[in-house]
Amino acid sequence: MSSHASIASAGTASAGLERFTYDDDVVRKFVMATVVWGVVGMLVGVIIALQMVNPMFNLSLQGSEWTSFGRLRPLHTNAVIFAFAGNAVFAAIYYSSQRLLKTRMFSDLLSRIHFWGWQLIIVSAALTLPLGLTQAKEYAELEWPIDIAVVLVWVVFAVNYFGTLAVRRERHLYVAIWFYIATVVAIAILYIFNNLVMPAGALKSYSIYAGSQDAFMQWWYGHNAVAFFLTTPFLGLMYYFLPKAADRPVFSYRLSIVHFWTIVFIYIWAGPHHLHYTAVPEWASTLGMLFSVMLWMPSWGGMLNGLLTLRGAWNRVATDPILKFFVVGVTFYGMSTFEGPLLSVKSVNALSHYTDWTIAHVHAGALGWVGFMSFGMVYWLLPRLFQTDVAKPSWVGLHFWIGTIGILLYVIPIYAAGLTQGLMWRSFNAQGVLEYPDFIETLTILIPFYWIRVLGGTLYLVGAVLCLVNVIMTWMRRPAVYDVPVHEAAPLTAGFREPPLPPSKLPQGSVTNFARKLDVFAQLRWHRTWEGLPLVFTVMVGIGVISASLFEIIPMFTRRSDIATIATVTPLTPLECAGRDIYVSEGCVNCHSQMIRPMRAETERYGEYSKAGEFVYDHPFLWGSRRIGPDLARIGTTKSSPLWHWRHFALPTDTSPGSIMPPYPHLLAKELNFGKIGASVQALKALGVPYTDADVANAEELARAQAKEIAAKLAAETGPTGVEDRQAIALIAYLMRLGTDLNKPVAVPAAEPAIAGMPSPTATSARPTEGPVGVPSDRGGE
Amino acid sequence: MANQTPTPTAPREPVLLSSNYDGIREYDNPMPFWWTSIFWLTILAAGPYFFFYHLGVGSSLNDNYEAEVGEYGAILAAQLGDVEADTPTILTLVERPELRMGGAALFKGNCATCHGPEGGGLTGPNLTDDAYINVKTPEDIFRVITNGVPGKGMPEWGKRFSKQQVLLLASYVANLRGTKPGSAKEAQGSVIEPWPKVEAPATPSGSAAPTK
Repeated sequence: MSSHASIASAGTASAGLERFTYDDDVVRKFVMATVVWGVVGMLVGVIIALQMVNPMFNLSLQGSEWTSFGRLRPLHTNAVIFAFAGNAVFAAIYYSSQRLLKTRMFSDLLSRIHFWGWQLIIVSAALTLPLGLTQAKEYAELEWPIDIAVVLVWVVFAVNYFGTLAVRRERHLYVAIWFYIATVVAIAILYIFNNLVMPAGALKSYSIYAGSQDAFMQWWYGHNAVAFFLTTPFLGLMYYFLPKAADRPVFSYRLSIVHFWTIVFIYIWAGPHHLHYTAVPEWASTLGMLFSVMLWMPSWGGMLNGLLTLRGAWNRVATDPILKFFVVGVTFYGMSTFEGPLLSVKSVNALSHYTDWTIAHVHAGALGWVGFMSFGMVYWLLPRLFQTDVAKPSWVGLHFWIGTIGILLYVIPIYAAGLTQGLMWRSFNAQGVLEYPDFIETLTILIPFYWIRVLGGTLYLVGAVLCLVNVIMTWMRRPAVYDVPVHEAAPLTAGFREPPLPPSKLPQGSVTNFARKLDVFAQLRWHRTWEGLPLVFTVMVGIGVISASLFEIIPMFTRRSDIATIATVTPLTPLECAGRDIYVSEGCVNCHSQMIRPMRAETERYGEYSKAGEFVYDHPFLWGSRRIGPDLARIGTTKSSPLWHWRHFALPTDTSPGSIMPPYPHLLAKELNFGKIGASVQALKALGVPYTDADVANAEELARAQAKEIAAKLAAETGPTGVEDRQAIALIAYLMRLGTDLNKPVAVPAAEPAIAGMPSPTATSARPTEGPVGVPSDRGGE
Repeated sequence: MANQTPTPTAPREPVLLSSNYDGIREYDNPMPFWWTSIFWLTILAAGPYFFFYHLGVGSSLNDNYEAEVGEYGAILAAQLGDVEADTPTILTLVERPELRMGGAALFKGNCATCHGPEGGGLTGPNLTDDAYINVKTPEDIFRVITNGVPGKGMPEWGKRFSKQQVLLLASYVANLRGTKPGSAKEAQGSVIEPWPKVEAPATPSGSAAPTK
């Protein structure tokens, strides 16, 4: 350990040694932000859990359009991922890296820009998401100006981090640092390439990818956000704080090397397992599954190195609540990373996908692994950062038990709910008829489970509040001036050479020379050289991440036969575009999928399964990941009554007794901004959707004409009159269009004037044909 | 802190590497044998799986789906035999309980949200009274379900369901006439002649024919 000396007694440094201090102030800031945002994010989680028990908690009938489930759900996920886990990760990185590298952070200024910039991003997310400003892609909802801020802050962080590596006084990088490097590199790549959008105004944009390609990019990002934001940095955290708290050596250096590199390379491939049975090509889905199964052992390598490091310290686990947090956290990591490969097997996924099983899975990981590792770290840091005793030591153990019971009460009923609903959806009676043809009966049966979840989530939140209060009370006991210990270490010297690799113990001889080389390789001591060269190490991580990505991305964007053209699929009308924007803004995608899988249980319920060619103009894709309500991919073929939709928006239980969908009275009352539609059509045209200049120029008139037509139908059905300017009309137009193109009669060259201005397809086949559809820009004129 | 003495419970202390990061030491333990074995197994199994399903004879997801649809088609064909969408068939089909179940399920899943769970009408018209808008005969029910009523909110179910499924549905709907739903919408359209009397086909005893 480095020698300590207080500033007061600081004389000159010993010969050849440099003196330095650590920046713990920024760590204190990140820790405080972790616990504050943790409580906020979990509170929103409890609120949306209540909304699933009773829609009155959406408050929409009380006049609030900002608190519906569709808008708060992304707020919850973004808050717990980027605000709670994000700040915890940064606290861990800033505290441990300085000590593991024996240096202060490269720049105090950059550290502060990182901290304050990140908090500003969180606040802007908390403001924009309830306003319905969203890109609709999960965990990538933030609109483009915030995305730019995220990238800038991340660059600041990266410069600061690699600068710190450059000025380090420890020759070799410890395994925690490897995981931090992987986080910095991979998140930058993932975030940028999934968030490429075409702006259509200051706070509105469209993904540059469409349909199945967008879906692929989203889950390449989404899955690897789990990998490189919720796994690798937390493994880094584990590798520092767990051996520190346990005061035991790490179980296996070799295991660290192998599981690190296999995680970095294999994780990237696994994304398409979120898209089994969908309209992404089956080869991608198969690769996603196979690599997920391969990922099982690399993930368990982390669990083993965590749990086996505790050998010889298990007696302390019984008495030390911090170690308890870590043990349960690592155990949940092991469970989640076994369940992940299991869920990625296609036949299991056929049952689990779109159900609460996924929700239970992520919460086992989020509450158990991410949450408990963060809390364990916070409690370990508390006395060290604030240089005083923890204000309420007994609360730490209390938090552990409340939290653990909370996790169990959350995940067990939600696993049960997922299985129940999945099995009900696919249940046929002996006559081959759906046993539960009404979607709502597969939902209302889950309400008791949802009540238990509210209880479990509330308990977990109570634990987090205990932590927050404890942190604040400890902070209040801090000394007037923090002691800043001065450390001494020798700087790195030039011309360092690694010692030669230890020779193989295998016998000498020409036959076994190869075996001897293999033996030396398998000892993995050569890896020490990379650990001494951060630049080389970083480049290797980059190569791993990028090459694994390209193996799937290149065929995904070049194999045109994977996205068979459908002649009758045409772009949305301007009014339908506006309706789609409302669908995005209200977060409908959080509860409704638009992707019917090729299974009879789905086609009987929702209609013909979805084809890749139907989504070629879908910027962004809106396939969804959870069916809290029914699939809407073909809603246009079965709900052709505007009045039904109108009444359904006014009060969903009116048309669908038992529904837990929030009412949307504001859509019925508020006027649509027709003037903005042109900008949307223009942006989509720029992305390759085959609109003409006239479509852009006349977008508003075209939209008004179609709105009038729908309003007339609504009035004819004895609905309200004079509502052609309302937002609901646009949304109805969109919903009535959904899924109808596939079996549309083949259009004749001169289309009807009402939907004129749309390009008229002249091909003769309504069925998918093998044909060129690739990158968006060259899709026009089929 | 840095120098760990072997704990008495450990059979033998493994090799401790010389590295020391802020007091953290590392053992040079080998990877567990079961761990490496399972890892290799998952890697080695991947290749054959991919080749079997994507370059070999393994069936695709769509193949499996087509097979599933074919099986159900066979069940329906066996149940219905060679039937036409004529008045006697439509009026009597759902007197057979297994077919009534099919018709009821289709109605519940697709029609109830507009026509009411018991057919009493909501946004769609009441199907239990004697007034009809586009229907004069039972065959018209089959036709309206198949083609929909463009512009009036009734979808074209013929695009969604097989002819046999529409037949089940039409039969179920025809037999809703005269039932007493819990809540009934006012009559729309005009009152039409009662359905013609047809000879009921031989049905299993205790059939669940709807009460008229």
